[in-house]
Amino acid sequence: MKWKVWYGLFYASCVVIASYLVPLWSLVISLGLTYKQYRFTIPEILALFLSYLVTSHFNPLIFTYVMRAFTFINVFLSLSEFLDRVSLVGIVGEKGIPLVITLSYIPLFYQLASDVFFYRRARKLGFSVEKLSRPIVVEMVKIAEDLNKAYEIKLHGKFSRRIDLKPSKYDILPITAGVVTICLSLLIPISLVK
Amino acid sequence: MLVITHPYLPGKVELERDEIVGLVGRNGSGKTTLINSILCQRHNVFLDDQDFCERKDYSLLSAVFQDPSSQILATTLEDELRLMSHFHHVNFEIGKRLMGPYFSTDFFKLSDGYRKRFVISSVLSYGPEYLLIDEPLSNLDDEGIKLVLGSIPKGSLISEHRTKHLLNLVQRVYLLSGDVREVDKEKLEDQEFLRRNGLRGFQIEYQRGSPGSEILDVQVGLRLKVRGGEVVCLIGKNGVGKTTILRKLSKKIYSVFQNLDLQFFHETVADEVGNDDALSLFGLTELRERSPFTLSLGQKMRVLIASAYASGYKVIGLDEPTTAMDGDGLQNFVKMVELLREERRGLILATHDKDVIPICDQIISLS
Repeated sequence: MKWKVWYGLFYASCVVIASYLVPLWSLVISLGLTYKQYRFTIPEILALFLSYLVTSHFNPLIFTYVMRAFTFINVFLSLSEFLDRVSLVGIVGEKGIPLVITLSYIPLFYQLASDVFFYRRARKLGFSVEKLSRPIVVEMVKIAEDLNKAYEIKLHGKFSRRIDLKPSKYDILPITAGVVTICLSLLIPISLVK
Repeated sequence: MLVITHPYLPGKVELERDEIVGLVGRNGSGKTTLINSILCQRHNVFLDDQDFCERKDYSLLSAVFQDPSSQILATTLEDELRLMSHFHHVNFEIGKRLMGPYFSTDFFKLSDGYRKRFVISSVLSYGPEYLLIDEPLSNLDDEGIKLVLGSIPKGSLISEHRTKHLLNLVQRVYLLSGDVREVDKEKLEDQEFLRRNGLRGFQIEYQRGSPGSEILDVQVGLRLKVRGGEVVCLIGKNGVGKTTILRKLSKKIYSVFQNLDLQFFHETVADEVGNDDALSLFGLTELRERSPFTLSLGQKMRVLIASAYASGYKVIGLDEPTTAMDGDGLQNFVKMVELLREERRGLILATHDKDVIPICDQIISLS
């Protein structure tokens, strides 16, 4: 399931605006859309509960900011999971292509860094930025070289911009979530903080 | 017809649209340089008597390089094809057919075989008439090899060490060895020819010894016992857990993992090995001031095995050590194993390479 960039941005805008009206609804809905990163969901609920107890004891108003902060984190998590990065090219044109490709390499770089840290530990080497960065830099240069070749061969021809505004069935979710968040915030203004 | 000449070697490679041609030779013989020539850093590619580099039309001639993970443009094939479709015509059906249910699957969740298939499908989607493929079968198990072989189209030039698989796939073969020349395909079954030209596929010669007393007895999902001078092989297809076992043993044994470059932390070979006796024993004295990153694949492996030896660990783990090795590299590797065995070190070899099975004293098959 992927959301086109503009529908993702619409959802993010609605949730952010609603969080300034009634933070509860934007928090609940944004939390619901992080279901794929379920590892974060339970710790987040626990953290929220703990924050509520602590802040209600000292200064209940602070909890509003806590809810808003978690909402922004949730929006970031759901966008990083669901955003259709290729549709970014429709907005920013050819300049967006290096960004789309770079984002695709984040898992590989993460894997490389974890491997290097593991090998260091396995060899019982002390922590040294210089030593650790050496294999990572060499590998990144190799990847850049290969990628440059692939870029030249696969992206031959003249760039033509296509903007596909028609929402897919998957885009219904961010549109609905955005609209529902705003509506609930305006129609049912529940506040946990008095 | 496609004609490629090597910048430093006499002779030429010719490829017709309706054939698959093999390209064999030692590591460093120029196979990758020849495939890279389509980037036109040196003009030596001719397509139907026209200089390809004048137009560089990659819709006619394309290439797939060795490591699939550094040539993707997006995380799924579907996204990659959408990105490419901003530049030229792309046939999504080819990708869907070749990738099947994995068309929209994250590249990093695919098996090695499907990763190779991903990059081959990507370039085939714009229908090049000729395709150059560099080592498509390296590091693949039988299942992966089957997946990749099924995706190679006519009009392909395949550089490959694994001569056994080329036999049934290609119509003609070129050998790179000081020059570029066509050889009889049947030569790929000639043990002496393979050995002489540094190719894989010949029966390795190995001096088997008698293992000593037990030096490791651990439970890592399975009971693993290793004796001094013994070679224990963990075999099984990709993803079955061979590397995981070696990772679990990381505090008990010294392991050398697959990506060699990620395991060099020092500036010179001497610092990396850290022991003059080990340098001399593994024939690295002349390379002592070199950066390990600049060495050949076989030399890198030698440095890492020498480091493992110098570490003092009694058992050394090697994860797919022979993956990208040519015939010469394989013979040198076997000599290193013999050396370690004479030093009464135990070895755990995680592999799916059938060529190294003869050196195993004990085989543990994982499934």
